[in-house]
Amino acid sequence: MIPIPRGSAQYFVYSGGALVAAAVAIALLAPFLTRFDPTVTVDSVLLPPSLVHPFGTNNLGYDMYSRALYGARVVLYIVFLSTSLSMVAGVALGLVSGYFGGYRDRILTIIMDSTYSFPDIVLAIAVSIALGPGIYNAAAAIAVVYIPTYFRMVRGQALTIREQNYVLAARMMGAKAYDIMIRYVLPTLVPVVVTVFTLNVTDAILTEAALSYLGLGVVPPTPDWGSDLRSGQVYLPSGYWWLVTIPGAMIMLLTIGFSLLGEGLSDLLNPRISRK
Amino acid sequence: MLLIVLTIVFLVVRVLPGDPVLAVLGPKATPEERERMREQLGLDKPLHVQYFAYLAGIFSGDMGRSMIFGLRPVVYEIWDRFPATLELSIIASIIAAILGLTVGSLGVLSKKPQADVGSRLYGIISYSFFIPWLGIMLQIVLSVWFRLFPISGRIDPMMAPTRITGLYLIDSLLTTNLQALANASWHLFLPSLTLGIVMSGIYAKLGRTSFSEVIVQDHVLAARSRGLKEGTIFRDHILRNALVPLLTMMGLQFALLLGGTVLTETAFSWPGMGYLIYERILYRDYNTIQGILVFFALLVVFVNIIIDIIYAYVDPRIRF
Amino acid sequence: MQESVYANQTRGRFAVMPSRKVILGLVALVVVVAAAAGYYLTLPKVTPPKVADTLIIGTTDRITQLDPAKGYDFYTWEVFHNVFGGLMEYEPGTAKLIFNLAESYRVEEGGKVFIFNLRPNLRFADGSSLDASSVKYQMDRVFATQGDPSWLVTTFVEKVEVVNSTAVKFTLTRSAAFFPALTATPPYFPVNPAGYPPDQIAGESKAGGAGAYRIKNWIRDQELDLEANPYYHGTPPLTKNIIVRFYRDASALRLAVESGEIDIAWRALNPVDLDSLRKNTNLQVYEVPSSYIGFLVFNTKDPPFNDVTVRKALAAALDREEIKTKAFFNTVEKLYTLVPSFLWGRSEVFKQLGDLNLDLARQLLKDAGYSEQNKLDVELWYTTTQMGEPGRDMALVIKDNWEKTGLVTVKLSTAEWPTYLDNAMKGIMKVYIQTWYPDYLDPDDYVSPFLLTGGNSWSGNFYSDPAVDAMINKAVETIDQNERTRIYSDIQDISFRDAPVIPVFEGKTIMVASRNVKGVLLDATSIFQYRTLYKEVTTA
Repeated sequence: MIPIPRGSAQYFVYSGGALVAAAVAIALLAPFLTRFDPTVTVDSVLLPPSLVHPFGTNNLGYDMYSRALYGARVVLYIVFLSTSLSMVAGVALGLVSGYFGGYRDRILTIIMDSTYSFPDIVLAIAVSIALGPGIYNAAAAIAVVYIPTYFRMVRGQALTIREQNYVLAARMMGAKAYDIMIRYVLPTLVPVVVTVFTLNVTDAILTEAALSYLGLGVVPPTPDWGSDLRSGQVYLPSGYWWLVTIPGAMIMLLTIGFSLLGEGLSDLLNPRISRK
Repeated sequence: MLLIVLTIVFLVVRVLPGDPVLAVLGPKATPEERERMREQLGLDKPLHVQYFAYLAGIFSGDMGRSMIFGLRPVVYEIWDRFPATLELSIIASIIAAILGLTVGSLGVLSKKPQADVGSRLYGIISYSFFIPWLGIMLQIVLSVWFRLFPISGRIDPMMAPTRITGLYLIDSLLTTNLQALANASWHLFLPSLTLGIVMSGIYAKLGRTSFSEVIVQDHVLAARSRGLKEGTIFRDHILRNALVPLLTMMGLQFALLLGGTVLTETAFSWPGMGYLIYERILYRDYNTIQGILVFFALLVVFVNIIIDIIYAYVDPRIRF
Repeated sequence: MQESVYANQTRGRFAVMPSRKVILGLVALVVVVAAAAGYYLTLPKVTPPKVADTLIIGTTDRITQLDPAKGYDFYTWEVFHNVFGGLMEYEPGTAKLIFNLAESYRVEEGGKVFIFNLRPNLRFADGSSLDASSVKYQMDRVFATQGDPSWLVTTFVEKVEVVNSTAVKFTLTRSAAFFPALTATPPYFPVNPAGYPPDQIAGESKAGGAGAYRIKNWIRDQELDLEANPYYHGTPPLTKNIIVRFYRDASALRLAVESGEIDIAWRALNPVDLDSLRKNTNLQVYEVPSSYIGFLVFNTKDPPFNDVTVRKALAAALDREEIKTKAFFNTVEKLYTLVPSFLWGRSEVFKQLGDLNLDLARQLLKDAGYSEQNKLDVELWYTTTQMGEPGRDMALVIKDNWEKTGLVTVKLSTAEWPTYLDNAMKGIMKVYIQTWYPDYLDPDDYVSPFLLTGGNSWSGNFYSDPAVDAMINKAVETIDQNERTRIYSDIQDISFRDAPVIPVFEGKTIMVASRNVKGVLLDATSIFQYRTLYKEVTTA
């Protein structure tokens, strides 16, 4: 494989990191960046972008600029929550499965493989409807979708590491399985997990936006880019373009940020592993 | 493994809260009527009985009847919608492959390192598009401002070609109905372009990996040292060898493609299975939901088998 | 050969001097043309407007299936009204009941027996004859197949007998003054026995009945092709062919009517699209009060809404004007009682509370024991599956209204339709938004479903008052309309006194059509009769 000059990987990390940092900053500093409450009527409806309302207002008179800013909070919160959950659950299950093997491994693998063969969105929709709308339910729905990703990866690693000499040696010396997993297997996983986590966040952002777009994510009037996109769509033929352009652009920017970051990290940490 | 999938589908669907009978009959129906509908749909039997009936049904090709829309057999509902999704997926995949592989290979084959970075950026950016948003943006520009393309639907009324396969492009070719062919393509363009662009990101990545692996191989170097023209080298050595793992990858992306169709279809009101499953989930049409999920699973399994076969056929080193 | 550049230029310009003959010829031609033009322009205008033989209607609704014994959704019923005929029907453009297949009827036993006399020589769309036994055939079918709308027959009809070939006798389960209105609903429409078996639902059958049109073709979810029924007993439809195109979403429908792809856009355009289409000079927008209503339901059994003061307070704080403009873009009207404006017998009892009457609301809430330290916690439910985005916007406006009192905090919750109905019935949703479409146009269908013990069990409002039940039943059995009006006025007063349901808006039936489409007769029944439509195609 043609080695990527280290330079470009760094640029990816920097630019991606910058976007992500900006998003996080926006999310944290939102109240200071705008004086409008994004969940109440602050002005006339359907105003085009202006100095007072840089992104205009929607059909209920909410300030779209505030909604864009506060929306970052909601998205980041849900996405981090869900991917962390996925990671923890997936890694734990993968370790158990790969290390211990046996019937546990077989059952888990079959369940994970079956879930994996479903399209992400469909699974997320089903779980989301079962749980109902809301921030935590949406996070849970998204988490469920990505557990198999971590599971597979960790399991594979665990299987390999398990056969290494130093592990066998440790076992012969009576080390407990739990200790072995933590001291030997886990460290090797860090670079891969980190990369997958970042890329996972990318997917999770899109899945969260998809859920909200389909009406299944957060409850109004919580600001959320996906649901704002959906609400704004019907106003398009009448010419109110700012209601859809902005939310979608925000989603895209955030996704690109994490994606760049992920790709860059992946190059730096795992120069030889090819990703799906 | 298929059994597990089917079971999971069954359980997931049943877990969904809400009573479909109530939704169908509306609030004015009497309890007796609701009970009768429950009986009709087999919902009054205990869960495990329903489960076995469900399994038996699948193996005999009967997926039950849609609970919501006039007790229409689910297989008909799927059969109505599947060609739309299939057509969309195929054209989108073609667009994605062409776009993605071109960019990916350019990145690898070009002498300039910027091209490679460029192709990676392309992969990242195109995958980051939120499908509905991309679809809406395209609609704004091409359908609303310039009136170049229709905003939704598969074809204009009374223009649908006689149904042989359900795929309008094929059917219109088979019946030499060129008007229908043009009309269907015109409607197909935007949705498949949207999905194609997003999927092309993945193909760009894959193409890049695949091509870059092949290009450093011995036979390529040997061909170059023999003085063969670059184009010939590309065609005979690089492309052919890169294609096989590529095909495998395409098959594995199938689940992703199906997921993409759900969003594309909702954004463009495309009458396919993605839209159907969303619609029916909203109405708790258990049987149809089950049917579609099972169908998806079967499709994925089927595609993977095909990929394995192709792989074995093309690569003489692999024999079962 | 070298030539001067300039020479070429000048020569090119005046290169050819027309000869005299040609000039004369041209002048003569111009004169002739001018004369002819002048002649035509001065001719008296006798251009008769031609009527197009095909009209295209677009809708986002769907036909579920084609059997009147089973169909129970709005658009399917519309098709039934055009393809089948009933004993009675509503006069297009009015809510007035007139005779259709029947030409008269007799009431006996104080409203318990109705004997209908059919017109002579009625035929189905394929020419086969339609008589009293055909009427009974469908009635028997409804009893046998027990389809979704069958309750409209089985609840009211005890027995159907053929008296002679043109007379049918209905014996009811109890006196019902509005029975003739029921015969105008699709389950009562005779169907062509050739396409509809006596004990089975035939959902795909195109055999039709005795309506103004018959079905030429139906491609599910794509289009419906209708042609004029040559055997129709009434005036032939003005447009020979009607094509209905089914659109997937409202934005596409808007663009279709804007671009002229369809002649009429009907059900359902987004309110914001309607708003902008009103300004389009190529289109005309028809708006009439409709029969569906929107309201809030309270669970009157459990706290906090078991206290009528609280319910009244929240009713007073509502700003119907804001809901109408913001959530619905003026596609609805404010509603102050359960009975909507097109129907007789209404009295606007909730007007006394006013809109956004924050002072009154605060006063009532304080009386009920709430204060700034002890605010009323409300969970307001809505669903978008039926109402779409306006449902959600309405909830947001109401939340805003209630929180303006300073004594209420509102949390919004949502569920899809099946869960929503389920939750409602179980009383899980303490206050929620709902809409109601009547099955028959009588104040009873706006009162019983909310106030009648048993009739309101779907709503989860747990309201039950035997005195009110008695009044409602009496109103059903009374035949004299004046007497009924009096009773309904009392009932509406009670609906205000007890306020288990707060009326908020009444819908409008809205249709958008090209300027050259005429004969659109819309009314509160929302029954759209295609036979009066025609499109002018002027030949100049």
